[in-house]
Amino acid sequence: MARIDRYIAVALLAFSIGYGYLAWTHPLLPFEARMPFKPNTMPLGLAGLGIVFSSLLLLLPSNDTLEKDAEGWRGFAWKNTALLIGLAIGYALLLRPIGFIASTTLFIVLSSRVLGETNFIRSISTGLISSGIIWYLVDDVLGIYLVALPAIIGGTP
Amino acid sequence: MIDGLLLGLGAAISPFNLIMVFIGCFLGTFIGMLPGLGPMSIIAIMIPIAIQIGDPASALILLSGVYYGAIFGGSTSSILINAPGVAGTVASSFDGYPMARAGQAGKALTTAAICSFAGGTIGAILLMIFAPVLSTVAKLFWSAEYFALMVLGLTAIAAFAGQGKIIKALCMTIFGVMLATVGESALHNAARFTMGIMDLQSGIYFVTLVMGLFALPEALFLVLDEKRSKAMANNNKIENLRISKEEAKEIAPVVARQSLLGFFVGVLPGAGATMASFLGYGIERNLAPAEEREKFGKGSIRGLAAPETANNAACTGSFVPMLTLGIPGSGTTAILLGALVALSITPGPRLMEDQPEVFWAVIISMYLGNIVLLILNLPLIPYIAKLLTVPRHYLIPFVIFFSLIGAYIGQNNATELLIMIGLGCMATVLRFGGFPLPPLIIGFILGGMLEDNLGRAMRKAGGLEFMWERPMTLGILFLALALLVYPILKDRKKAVRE
Repeated sequence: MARIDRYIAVALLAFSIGYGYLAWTHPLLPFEARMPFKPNTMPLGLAGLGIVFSSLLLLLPSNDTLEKDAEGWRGFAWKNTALLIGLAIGYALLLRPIGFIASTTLFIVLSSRVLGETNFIRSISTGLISSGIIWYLVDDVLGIYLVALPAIIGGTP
Repeated sequence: MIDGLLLGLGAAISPFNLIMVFIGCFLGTFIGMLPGLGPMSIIAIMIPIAIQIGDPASALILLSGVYYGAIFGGSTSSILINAPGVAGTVASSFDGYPMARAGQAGKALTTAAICSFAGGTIGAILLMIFAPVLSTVAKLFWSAEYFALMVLGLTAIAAFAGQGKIIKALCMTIFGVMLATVGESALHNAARFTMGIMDLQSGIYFVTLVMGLFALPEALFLVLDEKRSKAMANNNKIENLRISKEEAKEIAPVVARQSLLGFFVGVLPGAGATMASFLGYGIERNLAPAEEREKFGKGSIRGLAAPETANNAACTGSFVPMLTLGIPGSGTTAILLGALVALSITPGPRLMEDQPEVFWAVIISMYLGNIVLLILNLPLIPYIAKLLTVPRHYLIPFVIFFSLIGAYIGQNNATELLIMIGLGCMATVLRFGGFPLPPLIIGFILGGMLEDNLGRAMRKAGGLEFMWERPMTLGILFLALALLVYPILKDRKKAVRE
């Protein structure tokens, strides 16, 4: 992998500079400005350290070996991974509008399909049973509110 | 003391109470496995049931069972799917998950169960002996010492700084502390670095971050690298549950050391299980022989035994300030304190004299909780570990689903899920670049406490003088520096020699 750690170091440096700028411009109340420890004291110190260490990462020759995870990345299943991330985002967006049971079942069915499950009946029943059990445990037993059904058939988002 | 123990036994041992402790351990273990539901939430949920019981001893026995069960349940999800639901079990995933990946899930869970039992039981013995004395020692710790203690906790990152990764580990730690400053802090009311996003007002939610950094990237890597995940599926036979004699010999001194360390760290209000587990992990790595040190982070049994023992001993230690001073040392003991008050018990210096049966019943309930947890969980381990034999096309969606729902139920907010997915993608890229992620989470967890104590100490001293004003602060800071620098120098020397 072409020196991805260098790109990350640049991103960390940019993040530290942006963070430092926000800390520097953080509005202080008049009494806070005279305090030995202000709301931006530690953030400014952190920004300084962040800039120093990310610059060192960029400047010093890298002598470490890349993680094994990064080996053979060309053969990785990028399409399936992107599809799963898309499904997770879809789940986050649909959880409230269509309810926990429908969105969870949909997520399990589609993501298992992406990963090679061909039996729809098995995936639908797995999704329905597991989402039903978890909904019952979380909402009914533990008393943590989870909207079960879509708004149009009785769920309250 | 013997009289007290007999009094506690008289109050605690009855068929009804034994059923209570079984139910508590069972519920705690299974609910604790759900990411996002730590001991604090589970105990809070169980309080109305405990109050309904009426008898303080039975109620406390139920709650202790739930407490210890939830801690073990949290360790289980850390070890099996790299999804630590609470901060105290994050360090267990550093070596527990690599062990599970290497086909040693059963052994990792057995180690966790036995070390939790040993840490909790030794902690209970220490509580019985030292409780009154330690409450006065805890009062000697001011914010300056707490700050130094947090710095000492950060030295655990040294464990991930091998093979020339020190600057990367430091960058990740700083990044983690930066993330901890988002939102309102305990010292300042105005929110910082929220970019106008209301959901960030109270900061980044721990479960969202930890699921985004550990569980989600793990699931994504399993999808990305089909070869590795298929090899892992073949590695999931769970025949190997036993700890060999050699391994038992290896972890015995770790258990002894970490029970003591965990207990004494737990006594300090605010330090708790998280601090104890990170410190324990860092110290054991430094004490391990060079060959064993290389294995830390890759599936070392010592690396798993240390945080598991320390966090359980610390949980027991956190009862000291609660029972003797009426001060809750952690979020969980704050909830337990509320339960005691609801049961018409006033914890504090007079508890041992006014209501000795309750004081001793709490201690006996800890023994019972630990014993029942071991009896209940050891036979269940093969079945719990079977979770890993679920086919890949269901295991991965369920890991992602549990990560998402863990972040959701804590805050009841769908934005958390989007933040978590963003963090998961970022963590995947960081892993590609060889950046170690545990320092990031260590920085995040300790960052908030670090800033609060630094602020208090600086305001009190008028500047940074607090660092050298009190010998205890200076001593802890020197120890932290030594713990950070020594292994780095040692690694460097070895690299030069090679």
